[in-house]
Amino acid sequence: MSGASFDLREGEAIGLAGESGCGKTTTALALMKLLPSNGRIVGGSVSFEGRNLVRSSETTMRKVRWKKISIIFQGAMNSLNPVRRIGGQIAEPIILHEGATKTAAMKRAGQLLELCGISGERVNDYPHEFSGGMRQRVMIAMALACNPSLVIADEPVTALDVMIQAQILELLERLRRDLGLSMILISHDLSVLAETCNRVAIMYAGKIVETGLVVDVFSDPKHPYTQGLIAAFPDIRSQRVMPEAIPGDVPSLIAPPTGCVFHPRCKSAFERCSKAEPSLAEIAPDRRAACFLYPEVPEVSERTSPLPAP
Amino acid sequence: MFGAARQWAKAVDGVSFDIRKGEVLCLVGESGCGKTSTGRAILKLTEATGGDVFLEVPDEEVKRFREAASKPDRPDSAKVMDEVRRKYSITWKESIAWRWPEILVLAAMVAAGTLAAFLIPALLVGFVTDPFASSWTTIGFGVAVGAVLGTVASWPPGRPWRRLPIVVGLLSVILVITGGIPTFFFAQFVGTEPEGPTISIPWQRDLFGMLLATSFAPMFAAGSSALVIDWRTRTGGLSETMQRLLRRFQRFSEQASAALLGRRQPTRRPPGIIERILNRFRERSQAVSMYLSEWRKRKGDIGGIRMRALRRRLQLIFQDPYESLNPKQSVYEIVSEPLLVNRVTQSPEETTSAVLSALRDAGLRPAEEFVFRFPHELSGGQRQRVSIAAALVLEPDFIVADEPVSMLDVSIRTGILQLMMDLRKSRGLTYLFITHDLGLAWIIADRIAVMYLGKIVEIGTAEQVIRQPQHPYTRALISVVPSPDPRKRVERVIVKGERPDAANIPAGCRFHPRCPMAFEACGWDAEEVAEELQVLQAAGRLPDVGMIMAQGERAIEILPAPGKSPTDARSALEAVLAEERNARLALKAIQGVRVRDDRIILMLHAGSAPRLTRLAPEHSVACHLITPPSTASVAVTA
Repeated sequence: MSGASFDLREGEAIGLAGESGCGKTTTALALMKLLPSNGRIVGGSVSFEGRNLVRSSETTMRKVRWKKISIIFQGAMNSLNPVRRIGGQIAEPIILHEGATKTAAMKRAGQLLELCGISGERVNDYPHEFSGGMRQRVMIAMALACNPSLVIADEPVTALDVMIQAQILELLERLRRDLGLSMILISHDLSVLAETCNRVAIMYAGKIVETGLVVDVFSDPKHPYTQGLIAAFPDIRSQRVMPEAIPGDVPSLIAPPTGCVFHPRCKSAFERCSKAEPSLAEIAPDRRAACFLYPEVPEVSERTSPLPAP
Repeated sequence: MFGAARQWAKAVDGVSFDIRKGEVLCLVGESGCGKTSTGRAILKLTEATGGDVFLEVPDEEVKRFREAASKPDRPDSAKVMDEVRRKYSITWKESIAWRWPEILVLAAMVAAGTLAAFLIPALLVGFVTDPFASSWTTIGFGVAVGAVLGTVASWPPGRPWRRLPIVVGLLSVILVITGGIPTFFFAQFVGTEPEGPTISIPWQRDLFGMLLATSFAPMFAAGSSALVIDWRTRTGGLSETMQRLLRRFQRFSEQASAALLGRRQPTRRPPGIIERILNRFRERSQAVSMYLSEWRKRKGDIGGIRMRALRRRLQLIFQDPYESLNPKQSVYEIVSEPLLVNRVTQSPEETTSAVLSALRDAGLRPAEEFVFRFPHELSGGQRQRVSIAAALVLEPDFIVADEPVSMLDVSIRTGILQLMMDLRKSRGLTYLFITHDLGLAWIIADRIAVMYLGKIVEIGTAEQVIRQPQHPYTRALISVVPSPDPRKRVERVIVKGERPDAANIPAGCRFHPRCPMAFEACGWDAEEVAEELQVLQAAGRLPDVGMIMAQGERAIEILPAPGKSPTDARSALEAVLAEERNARLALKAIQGVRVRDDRIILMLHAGSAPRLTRLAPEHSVACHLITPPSTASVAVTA
């Protein structure tokens, strides 16, 4: 991953979109410094409410996680502990992070469930007593346990049916509106992001290639990859045409192509694309793209120096 | 006799559709609605409990069948239905008990055949060579020739060598006991004159004859029995009792052979020669018993025999290319397996060329480069192409594609879809495309069938279903499909709740508890309405009312609150019902409120399950809103 840069304002939802293996989840984990032991942040910064999380100590991060930023993990439906009642699982972070008593935490767990559309009496049920959509609601309730200001949702609706998907998305939208949450929504499904986010960042092979307001990006995609990706989605509300394919496969991140990572699959690639790497630059108000088709886009000049290993 | 009887939950019920040649029919629905079960039942990968799958059936035959099915009380309708099924159904099994005339005719045929097979060769041999003139030995020799001829003549097509050892083995044992020993004793009394130059001692001569007879006669018996079985399977299966007996015997023999042969070696030293032979024998006998059980299983099943030939023409593409390919097999092995299993190709060269051309057709070029790769060396899209190649290699006419692109990234997905559609054009394929994605169905389908909880709720051309959906479920489903274009946002109709358990299906229309437009006739039962009333009561809307109890299917009994008169409670209740009717749809089912003795009785409308009814050419919907049930069925049955 390199050059994934975006900003998120308070109360706003940004969508991270891209195909599998493009680094969406890695970005989310890096934001919270939760990368697995074989991953490391070698440069860059994450500024959150005025402090740089990359430079923060683990102790500070512990205070930030869940209280300020919480995450709904991918495959969340299966990440509940099957042998513990859900009430206890939701109450655990409340007890740990806020020092609440067990009774108070359980009461709050019940309220959170009600907030997410599950009867509060079900705090004493086990995960297997819930359906997939309900479990996803429980996970959302758990993420909201300590009143965070930012929620990262990693593929929150991926394994769900369209109808349940719509229910969950509506719930997320309602929570964002009512609680004033900021949200990072990660999905491979562009149409899900199109319906729920204000802004969207399109990722390809570990880089953000385009960002902008949802309406702008979808109605007038600037980067060829975004154009291809949008064209590849079948749209039930437009003409019956076969969506277009992007030729080729996602490149390996161990040996990425020289220059622009997308140039081997790009329709409008020219000579410069294989030699230099474009950086993400503003090409219109509130609109950034990393593509040499736009003359204002500069090349990536220097690499950020790696951080000293911890 | 022992254990619980099997119970069936009719998860998928009353699904009926036709797929025309060269068409793409999309089966769309949420998970658990029975799309995959339907697809598998069509290919007979899951045994359906009822219903028919017809293959290549002419329109007039379908018409004849439907007509007969709609009038089950006409005397000849069962006959007509069976006739059509016998010709075109691939799922139909016929079980006819043996009738006496049949048995007699059969016995006479076998006897005459046996006699002819004994005598004609014996005469021939006698005329030509005369080595053991007028001896029982001659007959034995004749039997041998007859047996070979009979076997060759009457063995059913398919893979006879697989069954040969079992049949011969089994029948030898039976015939040594039933045929050989009597022959021997009979010979003791009849063939007493010593004749022929080589064997002069009578008992030796007769023993020789007996051995010949008993070792070759089974071949003939096997042949004739195969003929009998073949005839039975052509006209109908074995009777239920027979099948049950066979199954029981099979289980017993499996257990017995396991007990006899399955004991472990007590020592750990390397096996000696005898043990090795024993092991080999054990393996062989296990293989034999496997064949035996397979063979027995097939017997009652007329469809099974036809199905083997049809498997080549009906193929399946699975959902997940990461799971459906064997990681230990190379691409060549995966793609060639159907050819070998179905014995399509005759030589390795032919197999290779078929595999290569299938890979090329599936878009894996150069095919030679992919042949020796293993699944882990392929990307997701390439894996799915290998699955497609494995389905294509038998040159099928019909493919059930079960969510073939749902596990693939969008940019690759289109390539696979394009490939499938190209193949449809170049090979004239017909697809049953199973998907949960209405957007995808819209792009590729000629016709779309929307399923909910094991029923088709709407079927029609893609234009009709997507652009003019009639069923409330289809409408809701279409409204929630996200669109990549934020400018085309429509108002989402979010259906409340989740899909009910398929083992406990709501009465009437299966969608009514979640339907935003449900009304009286949709099949509410007393439990549902009582529950809704209890919710109202819990919310404090019914202060005058006490206990609410469902009484059977169509009535609810309500006690007035203590100190209230039933008539007052009734009028209060009626007022609340009139107010809440449109918010709580279950209350619409209440037909009348009356007072009996000291309690209030609510009567409910009778409901029924809507039937798939044709609205326009090609377009059928199963909903009471569109096709109101006839007044007769709404009439009160209190």
